[in-house]
Parts: sequence; structure tokens; C-alpha cells
Amino acid sequence: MGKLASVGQQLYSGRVSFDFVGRRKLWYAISGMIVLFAISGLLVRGINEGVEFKGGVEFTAKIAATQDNVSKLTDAVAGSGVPEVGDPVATTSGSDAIRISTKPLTSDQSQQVATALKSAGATDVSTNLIGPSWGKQVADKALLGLVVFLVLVVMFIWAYFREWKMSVAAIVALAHDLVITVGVYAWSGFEVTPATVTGLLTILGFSLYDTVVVFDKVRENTRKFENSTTRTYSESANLAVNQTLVRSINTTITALLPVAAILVVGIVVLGTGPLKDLSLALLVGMAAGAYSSIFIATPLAVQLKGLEPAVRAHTKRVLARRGRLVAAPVAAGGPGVGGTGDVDSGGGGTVVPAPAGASTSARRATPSRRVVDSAAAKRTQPQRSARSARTGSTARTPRGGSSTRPKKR
Amino acid sequence: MATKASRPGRVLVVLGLVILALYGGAAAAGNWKPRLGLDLQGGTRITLQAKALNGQSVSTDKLNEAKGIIEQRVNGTGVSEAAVSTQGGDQIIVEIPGQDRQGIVDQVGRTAQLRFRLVWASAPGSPTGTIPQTPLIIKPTSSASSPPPTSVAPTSVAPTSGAPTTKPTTKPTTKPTAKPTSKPSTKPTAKNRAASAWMLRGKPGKPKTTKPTKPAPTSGPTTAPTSGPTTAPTSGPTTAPTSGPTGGATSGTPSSDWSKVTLDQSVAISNSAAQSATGSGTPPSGYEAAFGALTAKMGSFVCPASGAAPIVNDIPDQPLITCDTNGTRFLLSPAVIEGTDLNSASAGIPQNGVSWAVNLALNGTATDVFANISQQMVQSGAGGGGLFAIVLDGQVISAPGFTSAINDGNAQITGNFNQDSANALANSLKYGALPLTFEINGVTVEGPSLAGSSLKAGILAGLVGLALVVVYCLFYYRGLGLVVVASLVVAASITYACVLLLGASLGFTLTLPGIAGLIVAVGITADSFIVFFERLRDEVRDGKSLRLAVEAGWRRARTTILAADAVSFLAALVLYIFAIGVVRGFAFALGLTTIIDVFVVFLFTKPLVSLLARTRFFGQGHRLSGFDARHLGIEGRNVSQMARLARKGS
Repeated sequence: MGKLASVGQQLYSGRVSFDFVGRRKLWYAISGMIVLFAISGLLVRGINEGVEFKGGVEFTAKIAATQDNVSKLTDAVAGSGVPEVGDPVATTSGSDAIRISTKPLTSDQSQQVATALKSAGATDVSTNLIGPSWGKQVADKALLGLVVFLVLVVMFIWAYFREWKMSVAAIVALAHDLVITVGVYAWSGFEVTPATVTGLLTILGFSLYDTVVVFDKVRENTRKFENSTTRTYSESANLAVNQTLVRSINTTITALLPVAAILVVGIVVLGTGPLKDLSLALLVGMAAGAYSSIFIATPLAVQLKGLEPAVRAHTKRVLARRGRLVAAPVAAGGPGVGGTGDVDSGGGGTVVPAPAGASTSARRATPSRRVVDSAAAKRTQPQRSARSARTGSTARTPRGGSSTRPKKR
Repeated sequence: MATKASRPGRVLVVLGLVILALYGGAAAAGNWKPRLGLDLQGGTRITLQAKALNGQSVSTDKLNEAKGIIEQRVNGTGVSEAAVSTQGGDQIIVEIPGQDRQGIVDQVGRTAQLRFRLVWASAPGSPTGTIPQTPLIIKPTSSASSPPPTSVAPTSVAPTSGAPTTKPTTKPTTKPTAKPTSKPSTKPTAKNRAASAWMLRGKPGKPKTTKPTKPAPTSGPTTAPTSGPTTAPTSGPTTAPTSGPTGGATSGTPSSDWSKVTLDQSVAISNSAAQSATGSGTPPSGYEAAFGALTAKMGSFVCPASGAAPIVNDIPDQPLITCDTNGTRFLLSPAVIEGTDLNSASAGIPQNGVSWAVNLALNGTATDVFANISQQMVQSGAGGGGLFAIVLDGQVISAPGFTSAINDGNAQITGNFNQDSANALANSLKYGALPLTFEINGVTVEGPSLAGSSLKAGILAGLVGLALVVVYCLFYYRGLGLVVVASLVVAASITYACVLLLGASLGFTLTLPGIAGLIVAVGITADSFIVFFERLRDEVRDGKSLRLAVEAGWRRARTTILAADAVSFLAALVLYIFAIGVVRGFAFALGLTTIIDVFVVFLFTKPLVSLLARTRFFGQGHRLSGFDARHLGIEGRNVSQMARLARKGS
């Protein structure tokens, strides 16, 4: 845990840095594949609409969930004297309930079936009858809600960030989360109910929440990027993502824990139902949302921003300056912080030792560093020299304490 | 610095008072348990979709009227605690807690059926029955209620202003008194006579001008006489008793084709009933056997004791046996006017009058029929004409008689109405005229024991989720984790108080999705603490003393927390507007807790952290405080040192 916590510090200072922005092509490719997979699921398997959307009757009978009872109840429904039940589908739900769904029935007919179920041994029966036209309306309304929410979200993001590039990036991330969640539903064949749609809309809010936090930091770090001589726009943005990484992980975990609790308890105790429907959509969507705010939204925002002439010119300036410094042997290199050894680079993140700030004085310089600096300068993350300067006279000792950081300026 | 330092404590005290006030409110409401939704306590939920008959959209007014009528119906079935609400502009939700009440679905969801029929026969509810009430009288609206309608009425041959005023005053007094005295003495059907004392009176002076139009405009007089006699003989009186006293539907009785009876014939039966000693009319030839069967059936019909609407099958073109609210039994003609032909109904005190009256106005086609009926009934002679029954949902709500022809479709029912009874009748008429039908969209029945396990599962999930978050926060944030726990406890107590208060004031019920929303909110609430703490730790890493870091970190975290909560709230709001049914509870819970989250972070967590930053434990970066140097990854530069430096400086 101590290690985990100190990673936070290293991420914050930039000594350990995952290259989220620079390696965007990799993340795009990964996400692209997942999204394609999700869409193909939607096309191939389609969505398994719940009874609320297609109309029909769903009976929940309280009875020991055994295979015997399933067939017993199915027979009871078939023999209830209501020909309209069609082919009733019975599944166990939790440990002591069986669910049977039928074609649309009238209220009288559903009562008849419920009576038949009770006489077949069910101690308690719940009925959910949805008229066919109603189901259609519910589905339409859910879709309308989705569209309205997306429009509102676009407006909100635009108003909050005052920048269409960030808005576009946030929307793309949202769409990404939605498609992935829908894809999971398509491939798994889980029933989609109004509760699922509610979960889906909630995800939108949550995913946006994540993105807002990350973008806030990006904005803060890049507010006066023109004045920085050491860091390009994308490097500043990447630092922001790294600095909020611990927070992102923590908020995702704390948000997912209750949702997971609902999901597990819901499935174990109740089987299918609104608890499961809601929490499953939330679980998938929140995980996707945490991923997309880091790996998709920020790189995309940076990429769009990079099209601006001012940013391009600034990047060129910084790189040129860095190139000159690297060429000068005295100024070359940076602190040999052993980030690679401390942090597991799993999850697609790579750990790139940070190059030295421009004003660093004598340093250990290694050949490998030079390669990184020159070949992949754009992706590397310098430490936050400006902030370090604020620490004033306090000497900083990097982990391991092998080298002492020089005072800044 | 000193004034600033005293603030966090004060804020905490204020928050404590607010929480106390919330619970004080809950205590005043006298309910310590949240109201549970049907899915957690069991019950029946019926979703009705209102549809306008004429293809128009359903207006809010109409929907609220419909809600009122459905409330009446539900209450009429003897169900207590039923909640009727509207949703989404065109739906009505009926929620009945407790056992399965699916049986009332059809009764609740049927279209309001207002029909005007003629009284063919009547009988008191029981031999010992007394006259239910003193006579009601009907006056023409245009003459007695208010001057404007009189002057506006374009088609009428305007009577002199003197005529309308004299008529209403003389008629009511003479007629009602005459009838009860003459008739009851001869026969036992005193109740019937009481009904006949209600008077429908048309515009004075008008009858003469419109009399030539007497032949009924609706049914062809040529076909009726021929078809009637031919079918009648075939009818077997033996079939009559089969349907028994319970069913009001008469379609199954002697197979005379009642739908072929003409309006004139119908009026004639009604008039003869008024004249008859038995209270029973004389049927046209050919219908005698069938009519006998119907009157026999009426004789054995049992009215519901409570005055509730009898369960009858109200078929428009068939005679109907039913009751009024006092238990008087009626045999009624096929419907002569449909309720949808009623343009408006209202209650009020006529301008020249002192007592309450009910006004009704019919539309064009119905006006002609009404004129025809009233003329014939008024003409029928000294014993008084037949009675005109207003039937709502199969129950006679009023059965007045005419004292003059009403040719413009505007009538006024008067008598011993008080404000309540006049309004009740006017509302009933309005409901009947409501051009809405209901389609049953969904019926959900939750078994009580299944609902019980849902409640248990919801609570269990909540406890597990809360425990997991607490454990994680303690593990990661150590001492600060305690702040998270305390904040969550405060948030939970505020939330519970709000749920209690909203339940008492707005009828908010906690449903399973609602509980899920509250649990999900635990994570979202904890998120804001994390945003704050991470900022705080960043500031400490930057070398600030904890006390300074709290303020600096807070300033930056505040914006982020507000933005994030705004997004959450926006999502909850949209969900609430667009979500369907019980899932709304989820959105509501989410929105509520988002607001509470903002309160707790601003008024509890931040002040608490400010206070704690002054303590040795936190301020000097104790190993368990969550601010120790090693934990922050800034070994060699320790927080306590920083703090000391900062204190010296300040």
C-alpha cells in the first residue's frame, strides 16, 4: 500500500509517467476493436428486449428453484386453460423463485395463470403485465431520453469547457462507453429492461463526471502552455492525466464497489430483476467510462487541440529547444529515477523515464536516455519543474535516494 | 486568521442544527419508517393510458378529471389506501398496497359511461324503504339561472321576460306536492313516486313552436312497428330467470329485439309507467312477455347495500336494470342520448334562486332528441310524464321528470341540492362527458413475500456496498478514511430524514430501484471526498503545510466537485423526466443524494478537515493519518516539519 501511495507522488511529480497521450494510436486501435466487436454483437445477436419493451406477462413464482419445479410450473401455465400463453419460457431466478414469461394476456387471463401457478405449488406469485403498445412506447421514451440527455450533455460540456474540441472528445468518449455497454448486452444476451436503460443513462452521467475531472486538470496544466519552454501541450496534458490517475482509480473503485455489491446481492438473492439490470449496466459502463476518460477523451482532445497553429508552433519551439539541450553534452540526461522498476506497466501503460527539465545542471546521463529523448521526445514527460521550483529550499530526495535533485533555478 | 479559524466549528454546529431540524420535521410527521413502494411491500399497480375519443390530445384538465373518476371507482370497490396519480401527461397510475387486487382492473379501467335513458319501471330498494329525499326540480337553464344564456340563445322564440320567472316558481311548488299525495295512497311504491317528483323543465313558451317536429328524428317509425311484433312472440319468458338478480344486463332475456324499439315507443312506455299504479310501464304490443320478464327481473334485483354502483353490463341499445345510490331499482330503456353528447355540466346557484342547481348543456343532435322526449313527456298529462334517468357507469345518478319542453338543450336540475350534492352531480356528469377511454398498459402484482425478499436484498446490498467503500477508504486514506466514514454517516442520516420528510409531504415512496439509487450514490458521494483528498495531498506534496493545503486544495477541488455533481444531477433530472414507472425512484434517489452530497462536502467534510488539520495527529503527519511522508511518497521531507515551519511563519 505504501508503494501504491507513493506511486501517487511519482505520478504527480512526473517521475513516473504513463504515456497516455502519446500512444493514442494504440488506445484508439484497442478501443476501435472493442467497439467494432460490440457493434457486430448488436448486428449479429441483437438486443434481448425484456417484457417491458415487447409486451407480455412475466410471472415470478416463489418456489424452490429446481429443474423439477420449472417443468412443473411450465406445465401448469400450459394447462391453465389460457391458449394465448403461447410458449411460456421459465427460468430460475435466485434460489427460491422461478420466472415464467408469456405472450401478452388480458388481466383476467393473467389472473387465471397466476392461480394455476399457485395451485402448482408456488407460495406467492408476482405478475407483471405489459400491453404490447405500451412496451413500444416505453422503448420510444427511453430512446428519446437518451437523445435528450446527449444533447444536454453536449451543451453542458460546451458551456463548461468553452471549447468544442474538449466537448467533441467528451462526446466521443461517451459514445464509446455506450456502444461497449450495449455490445456487452448484445453478446451476453442479458435482458434489456427499463432498468437497464436507466443504468445506461446513469453511466452517461458517470462517464462524464470522470471526464470532467480529468479535463479540469488538463485545463489547469495547459492554461499558460505558451509560456512553458520545457513542455509541449500534449506533454502537459499527459501529465494532467497522470496526476489524476490515482484519483481516477480511487473514484472508479469506490463507485464500482457499491454497484458490485448490488449486482452480487441482486443476483444471489433475487435472481433477475431491477437490481441486476441496473447494476450490471452500471458496472460495465462505469468501467468503460473510467477507461475512456483517460485513454480516449484526453488523447483525442489533445490531438484536436494540436491542430491549432499556436499549439503546433509552441510544440515545435519546445522540441527545438530540447533538441539543442540534448545535443549539448552537459545538459543531457535527467535523473535516473527507477520508475520502471517500481511500477507494473500492465494495462497497456508504458513507463517512460522523464527527461530532465531544461534548466537541470549536472546529471547522470545514459545512452539509453538519449535515445528516448531524441527518438521519442514528443512522448516523453518532463518533470514539473515549475512546481518544483515552488518548493523553495526544501531538498527533494527521489525514491531510492541515490541521487539528489538539484535546486531549481 | 483567528476569525477564519473559528469558522469550521460554527459551520459544523449549523449543520448539526439543520439535521436536528430535519429529524424534528420527521418526528412531527410521526413516521420513522420510509414509505415503501409496492415492489417492497406487495400490492397491485395498474397503469392506464388515457386516449381521447376524437383523436385530440389528452389535456391536463381532462386527465385530472379522469384521475378523479378513477379515484372514485377505486374507492367504490372498498379498497383503502389506494393511490391514484397521473404520469407523463396521459397516464393514470393506480397503486393498491397489500394483496392481489388484479380483480378490480377491469372495473377501474373502463371508460366512463354516461348515458341518458328513460325510466320504464321502478321499485323501492326494500319494502320498508322510505322516500329518499325531498323532491328535486329541473328548470331550463336559459330562463332561470342567468340572464346571459337567455339573451344569447338564438333559436328560441324568445319568451317574455315575465314568463320564465313565473313558471319556475310556480311549477316546482305545485307539481311535486301534487304527485306524492295522489299516488302513494294507492300503491306501495312510494319511492318511485319520489323520483318522479324531480322535474326537468324546458324553456317556457317554446313547446308550441317546435311541436311539429315531434316525430323522433333518430329511429325510423316505419320499421319499428313491424319488426317489434314479429320478434316478440318468439321470446320465451322461460329464459328470463336464468340470468338471475345479479346481472343488470338484459340482452340475454326474452329475445325481443329491444334495439328496434323506437324512441316514441320508449317514451310511451315511460309515460305509461308514470301513470301506472305499479310504477311499471305498458310495453308496445309484441313486447309484453319480454317486458314482463324484465320487470320480474327488476323485482328480484338486489342493489349493493352501500349505495355503490351495481355491477351491471351497460349495453347502450338494450334495456338496463340497475339502482340509484339510495337503492331504488330501475328498469331503464335503451340509451336515448350518449354522455358524449353532453357539452358541459356545472353546479351553481341560479341568479334568481337561493338553492343550488346543476346545469347541463347538450350538443346539436342530442338537443333534438331531448326536445322530442321532453315535449312528449310534458304532453302526457296530469299524472306527470315519464322520468329521464341519468346513468353513470351503470348507476342512476339522477332521474328527474320534465315539467316543460326543453328545446335548446340547456337544462337545469334543481331541488334540495346543497353545494356538495350539486357539485357531485355536476362532476359525475362531467366525468361522463369526458371524451377519454382507458387502455390498460400494464398491471403489476407483487406478491407480499416476494416483495419482502426484495426489501431484504436491497438492504443487504446497501450494507455490503457501504461496508466495502468504508473499508477501502480506511485502507487507502487511513485517518482521512475516518472523515469519509463520518461524512457518509452524515450524508446517510440527512438522506434518511429527507426520505421520511418527502414521504410525509410529497408521498415519496422508496422502491427497489430507489434503494439501488441510494447505494450507487454512496460511491458518487465518496467520489467527491476523494477528489478533495487527492487535491489536498497534492498540495501537501507541493510542500504546503496541511492547514494551508486544506484551503488551497479545497479551492481547486470545489469547482471540480460542483461540476461533477452538476453532471450527476443533470443525469438524474433527465432520468426522472424520461424514466418509466418505478425506475423513476432510482432517478429521484440519485438526484436527491447528489444535492445532499454537495451539502455534506461543503458543510461537513471541508470544515471537519479544516479542524482536523489543526490537530497534532493530522497536522504533523502521523503514520496513520494518511498524511505521513512515506504514504505521500515524499520521504525525507516530512509534513510535521513543514507544518512547524508554517506555524513559525504565521
